[in-house]
Amino acid sequence: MIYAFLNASIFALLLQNLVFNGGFGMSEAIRIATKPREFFPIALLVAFFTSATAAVCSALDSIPAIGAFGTSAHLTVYCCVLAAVYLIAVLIVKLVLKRNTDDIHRIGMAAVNTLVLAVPIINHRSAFNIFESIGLGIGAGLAFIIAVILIGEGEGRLRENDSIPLAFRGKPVLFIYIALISLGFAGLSGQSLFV
Amino acid sequence: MAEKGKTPGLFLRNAGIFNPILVQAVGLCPVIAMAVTFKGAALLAAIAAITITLCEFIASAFLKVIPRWIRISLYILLGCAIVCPVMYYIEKINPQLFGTLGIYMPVMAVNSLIVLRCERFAVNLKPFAALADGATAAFGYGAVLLIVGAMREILGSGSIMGYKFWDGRTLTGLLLPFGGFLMLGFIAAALRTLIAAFWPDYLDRKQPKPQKDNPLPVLAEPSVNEAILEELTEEDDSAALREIELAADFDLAEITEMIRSEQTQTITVLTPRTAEPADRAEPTEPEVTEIAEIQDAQVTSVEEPETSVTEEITATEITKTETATAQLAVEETKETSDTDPVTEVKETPVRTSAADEIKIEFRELTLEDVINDTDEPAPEQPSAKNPEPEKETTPAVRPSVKPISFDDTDDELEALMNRSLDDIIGKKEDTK
Repeated sequence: MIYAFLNASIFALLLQNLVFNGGFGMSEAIRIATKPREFFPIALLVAFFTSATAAVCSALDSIPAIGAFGTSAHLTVYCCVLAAVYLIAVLIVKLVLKRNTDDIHRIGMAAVNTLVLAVPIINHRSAFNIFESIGLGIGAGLAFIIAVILIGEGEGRLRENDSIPLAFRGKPVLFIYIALISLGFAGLSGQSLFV
Repeated sequence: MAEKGKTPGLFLRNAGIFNPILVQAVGLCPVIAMAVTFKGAALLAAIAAITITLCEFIASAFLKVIPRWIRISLYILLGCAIVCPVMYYIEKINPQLFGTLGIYMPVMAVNSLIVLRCERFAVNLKPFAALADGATAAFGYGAVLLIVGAMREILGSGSIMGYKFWDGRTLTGLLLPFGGFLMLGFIAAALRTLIAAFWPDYLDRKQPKPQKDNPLPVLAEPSVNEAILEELTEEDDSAALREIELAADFDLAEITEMIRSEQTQTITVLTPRTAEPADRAEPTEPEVTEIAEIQDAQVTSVEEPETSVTEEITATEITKTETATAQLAVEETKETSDTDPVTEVKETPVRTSAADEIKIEFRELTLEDVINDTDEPAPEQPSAKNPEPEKETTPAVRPSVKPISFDDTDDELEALMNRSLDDIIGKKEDTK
């Protein structure tokens, strides 16, 4: 059980980093990385949503009637689960914790994220059990946090670097920087660059 | 091509100048991972176009009245409702293509581009304006998908749409997400060059939210002070520099120039908020409110300065105050008082910051602060710190509340500031 959990987590974090190798959640990672104040709350929220959605979807998939659904029907179920988890989180933050609208907006940013929806789809396609599913969800969340840290640090240094040509300042050099990180993670998966 | 500086239309704005992928970096997932063939990219572009356009139209037509926190969940369901039938249709018609796209077709339902465009644009526009906005944005999104897909297929596999160009070595690495990012980087650089050449005013600017029913809002003048503030506070976390945020209407260009030329390391913006409550005169309180309102409008947060800030007054600030006071003394022949600096604060009206006014106030410096941190007032050289207060030595340090302009600094004062600063910089380094 623990082995399956850790296996899936490390898979999502290193071997097939869902952010750098899969591109999931990359837009949010870039957006959050440029806002240091938003980094921790949203990164943690993303990790929460990936784990919670993966757990609930995996539990539903264990129901034979739902497990027999086609791809489109599964997507509908997963989207409904994501929307429900989001609403529950917002209601808890709004009514119980009585936080301000900024926190509610952060929840929205974290929930509507390709990474959050990709995890249950991967779990279903890979026929993961519930422990592996939760492990993949947590690994995806950690992968997101690491991505935000790496992108944020790099973006800060690139912004201060005046030797970058004008045409490449901002997003162009950031994309190239992320490409190099992605290349590093691709090396962990053993893929070849040339044939 | 448009004339330089001419206002671009909706299409150019949404598809080019503020391209969702190349400029705003939104919706990257399908581009990075799945735009490896032209056919796949075309399919993803079509799905994205349908999803974004319909979502914006529906959000504009029906979702405006719904609270935002509920709208977000509806975007998820709306995206799913649009993508699922398309998926079902493609799965029946072309299972091979469906299998190639993998999980990237389903995740289009929660593409962050949908939420971004709907929340920032669609809910502020009429339905057909939102439709046009979504269509133009989707065009820009799809165009990048097609370009990236075509280039990656040609370079990565040596063929396109089944037509083989060469059989030699291919860059299969470009078919990986790494190749997608690399390609995006260079295409974004090309777009940035075009924007800099033809629409320089729009370079590095955030796309403005549309005003009510106007999809083409005027691009607001960038807040020079905000940009400078951001740069300064990132470079130096000193509490004194943070105080600049309290008076965002300052002409920070001048202050920045002085900081960069090392004429001063700290600029203290004096506000009644920094004064002790007991010393604060009542007539200044309306100004306090006004300052707070203006500051709140200008900066993200306005913090009460900590008590310790008053203790961090450096000789630089004193020197600057001294020179300013000296200048004011020349201008007004006003004798400073050894007692109750509050009197001067009370008497002199403070100009409030408006669009074209600059508000400058001087900190109410106590004698202890002056003596602890500095030496003789100008024009004498500042000496080492003297912990014992000398109550009669610094009448010239008494701040006057009359606003001054830095343009009024003459050569003599400037020389005084420079000389003092050299010593102070040395002192500051010693004390660190």
